Amino acid sequence: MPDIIAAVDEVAATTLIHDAEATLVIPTQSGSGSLGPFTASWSAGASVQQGVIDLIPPNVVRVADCELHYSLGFSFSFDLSSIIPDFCLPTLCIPTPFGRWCLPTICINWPTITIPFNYSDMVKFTADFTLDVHAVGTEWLVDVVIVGVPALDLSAAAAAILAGLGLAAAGILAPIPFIGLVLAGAVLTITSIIAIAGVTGFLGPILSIFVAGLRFTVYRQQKHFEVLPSGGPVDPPVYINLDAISALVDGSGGEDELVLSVDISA
Amino acid sequence: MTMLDSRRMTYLNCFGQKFSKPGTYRYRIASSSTRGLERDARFTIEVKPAASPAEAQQHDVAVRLEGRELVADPPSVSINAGDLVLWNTPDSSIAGYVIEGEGSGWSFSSASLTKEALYTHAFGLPGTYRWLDAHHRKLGGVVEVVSPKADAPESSRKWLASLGSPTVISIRGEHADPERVEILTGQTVGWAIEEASGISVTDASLVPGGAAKRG
Repeated sequence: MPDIIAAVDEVAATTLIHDAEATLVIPTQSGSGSLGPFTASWSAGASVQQGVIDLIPPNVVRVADCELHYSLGFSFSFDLSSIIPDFCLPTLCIPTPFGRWCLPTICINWPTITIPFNYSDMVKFTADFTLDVHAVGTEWLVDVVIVGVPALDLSAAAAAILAGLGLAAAGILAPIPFIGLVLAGAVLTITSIIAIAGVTGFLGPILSIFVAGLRFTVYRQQKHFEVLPSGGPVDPPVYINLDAISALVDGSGGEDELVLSVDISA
Repeated sequence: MTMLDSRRMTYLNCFGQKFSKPGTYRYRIASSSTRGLERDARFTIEVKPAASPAEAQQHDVAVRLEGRELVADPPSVSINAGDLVLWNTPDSSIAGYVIEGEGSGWSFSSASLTKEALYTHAFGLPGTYRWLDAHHRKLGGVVEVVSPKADAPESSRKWLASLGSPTVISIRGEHADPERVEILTGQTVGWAIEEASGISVTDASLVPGGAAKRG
């Protein structure tokens, strides 16, 4: 029989989770990934907010509609010649008073271009977390740890990114000499090569990094702590030791609660 | 990338020179990017007296990069008096070269056009190009490059067909005729220098104070 039992309901658990989200610092990540047939370098930051808590016995904390806010910056380079055919000006002749000149064919080699792109958005997800109680140094920590990698619906974001990429590409391509009439076709070619699936395939692994292994500390307590302060020179403070803590979701009382059981010693 | 400047030739330019007087002409290909690497004038044009009045022949010379040095291909040509020599590079990575040579008491240069010379430029972007002679600033004009209509396949075909039709600006002394031309993107303008005092054809924006001077 534990010495202390503390329980919080779903409302209080929601407060705990939201407080934990607010203090959670997720490091910025960077790397490279496939954007359709192209490779793009990227860096991204994210934060987790909101969510509705559902406690499910015996040990699942389900967070529904949790918001992953992310900011993504990436750039990708590719050889334009690989997607649009080279273009040649025809041979032409110029009559002058001192002779007739015929110019050779001039072929335009399309350059390699780099398209930088920034995008910020939010995606909601629902994930199950499990309880993990463990000691770190002089503290007991009660964490909730995500189970698996939740599915992220990125279709809207992918469509927005693809549209934005098209605009960015048009801006980058416009100053390229002779691209003229093929400009619209080049942009269409780029976006159709990458496609929604390409963007989703690019975005998914990046954002999964931020939710895979997601862990919040919802409760933190010193193992050895003061329960009664000093009453005077001859009345020293009273300390207790928290020897063991366990956590579970209990629904036996009719309402699902997050229950902490604590064994103590003086 | 597509500078209009006969002092800095690119693959979008051609420089032509008519050789009327027999003799041996030696020339070099200088470049801002390979400056100091080019040897002295080591390419030659051997001009033989014309046996009989015949139609002028054109001889093409390609400018290529060998290692870090610009070379002429072929390095020497033998022509008849009155023939034409045209230089051009097919290499888009070569930018900023100039042809300069001399012989028979006369010199020629793409950067300083004097007589019976041709400079061409293919315009790849729409816009208003004010050009002038960067050396004397007494000569200049405007090339208006407009985007072709791209609303139908027929428009594209017309545009492609128009690329084979050059526009010629004749230079005599300090006079350019016409001073203002309008072309479609992708078309070529040729400056035919009948006689001049060593001019360049240069985008006014590349000349300090040039853009203001030409308006």
